[in-house]
Amino acid sequence: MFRVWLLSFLCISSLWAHKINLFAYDEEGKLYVQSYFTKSSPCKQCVLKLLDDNQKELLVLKTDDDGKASAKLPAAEFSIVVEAGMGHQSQTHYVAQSHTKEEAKTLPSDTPWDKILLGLAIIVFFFGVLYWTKRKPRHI
Amino acid sequence: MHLSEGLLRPEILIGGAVVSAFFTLYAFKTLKDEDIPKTAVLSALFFLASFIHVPIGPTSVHLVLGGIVGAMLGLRAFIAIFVALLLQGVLFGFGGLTTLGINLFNLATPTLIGYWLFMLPTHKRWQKDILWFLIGFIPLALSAFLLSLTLALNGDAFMDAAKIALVAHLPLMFIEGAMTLLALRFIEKVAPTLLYQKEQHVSRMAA
Repeated sequence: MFRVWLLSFLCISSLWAHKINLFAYDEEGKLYVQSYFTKSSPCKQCVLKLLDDNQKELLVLKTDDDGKASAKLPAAEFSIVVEAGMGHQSQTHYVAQSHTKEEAKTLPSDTPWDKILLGLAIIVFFFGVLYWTKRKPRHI
Repeated sequence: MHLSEGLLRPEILIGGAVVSAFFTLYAFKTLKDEDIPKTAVLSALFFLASFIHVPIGPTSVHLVLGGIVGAMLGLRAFIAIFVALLLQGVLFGFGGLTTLGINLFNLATPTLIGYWLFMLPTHKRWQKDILWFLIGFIPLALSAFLLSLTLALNGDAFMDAAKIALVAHLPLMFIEGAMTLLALRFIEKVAPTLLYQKEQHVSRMAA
């Protein structure tokens, strides 16, 4: 029984050792990916492929010695495939949280026009009152 | 350019507030009714300038336009900038009420240099153009320096931020210099009477 347990443990450990973890996030239109086998073992110089729904390559990246790579978001939604050689591969579907540069162009303006107009109205009111209090009396 | 609340030491906040309050109250006291419309327009200009962002490398900075406000208002720039900063703080959270004094000091005091430059006598077109460029350039450079100095005086932890603040505004100094030059040339062309205080000053000096 013990031998069966030990054998199972070794097999699972071996699977863990080759499991590729993929961590990705995006910020202000830029994608950041980190790939690693274990905490102390980054996926160095691994190929990252960003694929669209038709499995067409949008972008190909290579991780650095820390297992990290970054690039501008190529689309709002895509798959990330990391290849570590020897048939080791991991894939995940990614939905961007920030907007790509192309999308950002079509977004409605986030300029707070209501507050800007309120500020201008307050300036007019403030200086209007100031003028009214400071104006010299006009003698007819 | 706007220092946020909860960042600075109390002695810096109080010092900035006292000096700014003195200049602002004096400016209010000596403000003439005929100068109020121009002060209001330039206050609105200063208020709006903060929403015009200029991308520089990975970051972006916003226009200040303190030089032109100072050139056209002199000491009254304190009133225009005070009102604009107050509204920017209350409506948009740029800066804040406790930092209003030090922000006003950092932004309004250098505009007096703009006024002094504007009043310098010029005889040739190119001299005027250089001065008008400097009216935009120098006050912003001084404001960036005062901002960096404020951060540096706040403690060693802010030294890096102080250096970044100074360097980040360097390209903007040239942009504001060019914009001020173009704006003053435009005013000179379409409404030269707005620049009347210079003629008055020069004729007084000549007399």
